[in-house]
Amino acid sequence: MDCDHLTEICFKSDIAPIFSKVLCRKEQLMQLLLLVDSGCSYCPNVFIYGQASTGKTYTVENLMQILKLPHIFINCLESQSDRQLYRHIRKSITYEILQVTHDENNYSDTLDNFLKYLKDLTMKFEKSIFMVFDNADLITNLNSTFLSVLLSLKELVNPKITVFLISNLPWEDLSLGVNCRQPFLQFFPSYRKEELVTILNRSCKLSDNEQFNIVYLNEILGVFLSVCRDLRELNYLAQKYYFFYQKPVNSGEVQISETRILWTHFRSHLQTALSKIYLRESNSFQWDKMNRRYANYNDDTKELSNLSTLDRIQLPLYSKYLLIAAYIASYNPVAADRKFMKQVKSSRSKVLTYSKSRKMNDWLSGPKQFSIERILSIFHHIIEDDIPTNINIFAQISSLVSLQLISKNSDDNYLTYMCLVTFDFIRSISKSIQFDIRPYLSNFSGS
Amino acid sequence: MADTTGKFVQVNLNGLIQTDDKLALLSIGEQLEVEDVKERPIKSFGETFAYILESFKRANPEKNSILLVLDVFDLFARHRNQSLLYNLFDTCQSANLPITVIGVTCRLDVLELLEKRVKSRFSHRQIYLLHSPSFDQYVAIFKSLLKIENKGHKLTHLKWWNDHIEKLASDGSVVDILRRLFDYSKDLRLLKSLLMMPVCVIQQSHPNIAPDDIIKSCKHIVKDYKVLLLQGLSVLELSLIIAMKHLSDKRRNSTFTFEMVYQEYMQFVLTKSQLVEKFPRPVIFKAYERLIDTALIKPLSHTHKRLQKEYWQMSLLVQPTQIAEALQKYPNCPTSVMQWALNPIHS
Repeated sequence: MDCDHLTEICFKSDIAPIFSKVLCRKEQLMQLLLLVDSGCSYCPNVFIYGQASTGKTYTVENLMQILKLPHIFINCLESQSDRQLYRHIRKSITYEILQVTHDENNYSDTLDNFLKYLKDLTMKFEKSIFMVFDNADLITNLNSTFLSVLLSLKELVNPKITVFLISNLPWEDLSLGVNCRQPFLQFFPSYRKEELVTILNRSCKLSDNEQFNIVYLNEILGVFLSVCRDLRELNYLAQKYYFFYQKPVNSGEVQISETRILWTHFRSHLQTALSKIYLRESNSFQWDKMNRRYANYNDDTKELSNLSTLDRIQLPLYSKYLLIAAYIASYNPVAADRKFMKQVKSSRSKVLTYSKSRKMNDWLSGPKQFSIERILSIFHHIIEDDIPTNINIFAQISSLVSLQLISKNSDDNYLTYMCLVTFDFIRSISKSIQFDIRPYLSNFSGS
Repeated sequence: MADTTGKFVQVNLNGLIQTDDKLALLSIGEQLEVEDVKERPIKSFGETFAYILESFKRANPEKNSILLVLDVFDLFARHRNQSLLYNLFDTCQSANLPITVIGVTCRLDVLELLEKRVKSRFSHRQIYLLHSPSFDQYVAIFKSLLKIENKGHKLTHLKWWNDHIEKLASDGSVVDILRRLFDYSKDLRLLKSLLMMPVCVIQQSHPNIAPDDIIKSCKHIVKDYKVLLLQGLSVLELSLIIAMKHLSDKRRNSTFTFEMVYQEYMQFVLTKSQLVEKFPRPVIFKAYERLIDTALIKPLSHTHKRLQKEYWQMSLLVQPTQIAEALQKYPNCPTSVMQWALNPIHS
């Protein structure tokens, strides 16, 4: 929006604080201010959309508070049925707009009653009312027509009521056809790098030296921005690794101005950081103690090196063989069973050859269902010795199912199973019992 | 014509609000001021409706008839058994208490939605309010929306404003934009949303609507959300989208799983190992999950939900042209990624 002739709005005394509170959203704020404060008619309904953590809710909240508009703020996550939503709205109106603390009858069980209530409200209350709905994409789950009704409130009840909808999905995904009147669409783009530096400088608790902070943030963003542009995640990372960055400065080894040396110290920490982005590993004391037994504990970095789930699951020997048999059954096509289980290679046997791309497609499209006879036959084949009679195979299979390593599916009275573990997991399990699984898998063998 | 005011009463029902026959019945009872409709056990719709009409007739002998207006009529056809419509049309034909039903709807095929028994009782009187303006009429509507009528404002001011609107309507760029909008849709709501921003921008220092304002407003309306979303992704997520695009080009079947995307992405990383960083698999999987959340990729409806997430069959909801456009506008896009988008790596 052309800001030249609109700067006079920015400098109005009551509105100026909003630009210092909500950073890097000048353009979007200008648009919203023009609509809300137009002075000539009622504000139209507004639909605010954009990716997660782009400041949508924050902007609208601050806009409402600083302009002192009578508004209610509803998060649609909190309501599981439409009655709860009506009740929630009524309660918010009573507390926040009418500022009445005593609890009158809050119950609206139908849409009709709710609209009657709103009609009465707008007769009594002279100013415009704003209703802000966060996570508006969930409204369609509650009541299929409620979204259309909300957007037609200006016609059904009173033009004074304005609805603001905030959502992560675009308007096309939400609207249900002709009955949903299109509101004013306002897009919030993701932040650019410079904007992120400004915002993180304000929100993270870093040192007092502004220059130092900005250098640090620029370096962190340079590394992490290619993976993650989410403001919340970057805030967490900037806060977490600040300790390591400033350690040499605090201990007096390095001066503040020697940024290159600081960077070389910091780089090794960043390597581990990059491998664990998004995966927040908690650091509570008990978890620490438990993990010390399993992993290398590096005192220097106060970090835990990568733990694998394998060390945490202990399986008896035959269960491991069963799991391997299940994996083979899931990922090998049925016709390949005969080929692999043959002890003696007969020259008259028909050898099925699959093309390489088809094998790869089978492999990559996931595990298949198999019957219990198949897993038992493979199991008996890969264990060459006799199995002692006190082993209960079926109990072991059911314990594997309850551990979610195999899934059970019973359609049409026909019981099938499917293996749910990854290739790395199976490889380490077979390594632990010195069994080589690769010759048995059709993907890895010759033909 | 005889004076009919006061001789009939109007009842308004709305398909968006009364989503059920029972709610509709309660609403009719309320509007006709018949008490204790709620307390009476509703055995059948017809019985309760007859009761309402009876009590109304008893209480108001001077009113001759009832006019029922059903807004968003097509939603009433979705009720169970269409019992409301059936009873209403049935009562229309009985001489007891004459009622008239007017249904208002946007759908031209609304008669197809009615059941056979309901359709047979319908009088088949339809009034079409079709709106198909020519382009000149469209421009005339544009002018009439902006001009101010003479209602007590200063005459000179009024004339000056209306003259400036006339000039605006004859400006070449404005006519282009109106033509573009008109070709897209003749809906007047679109025209009004176009004019929303220029009107709000009017200030003391900017008392006219300039053609620039209208051009800007048009750009604002015709945004491609997917391209903007792609520009807001991180480089890793964008690379995954490019990998999916190459996969769809290679295979006849346009669905894929995470394992396939991972393999494709790894091929790219291995060939350009100096320029591109290598991320561990869980990080890549998390980026993939974030793409699902932004609705750029979608699982197929028949995906077996108990299967691991890595093996769900997904389809990509972005066109190659949108990817190309987003790459051009992406801030600081690494050149290796851009080249890979244009030249897929053949294994």
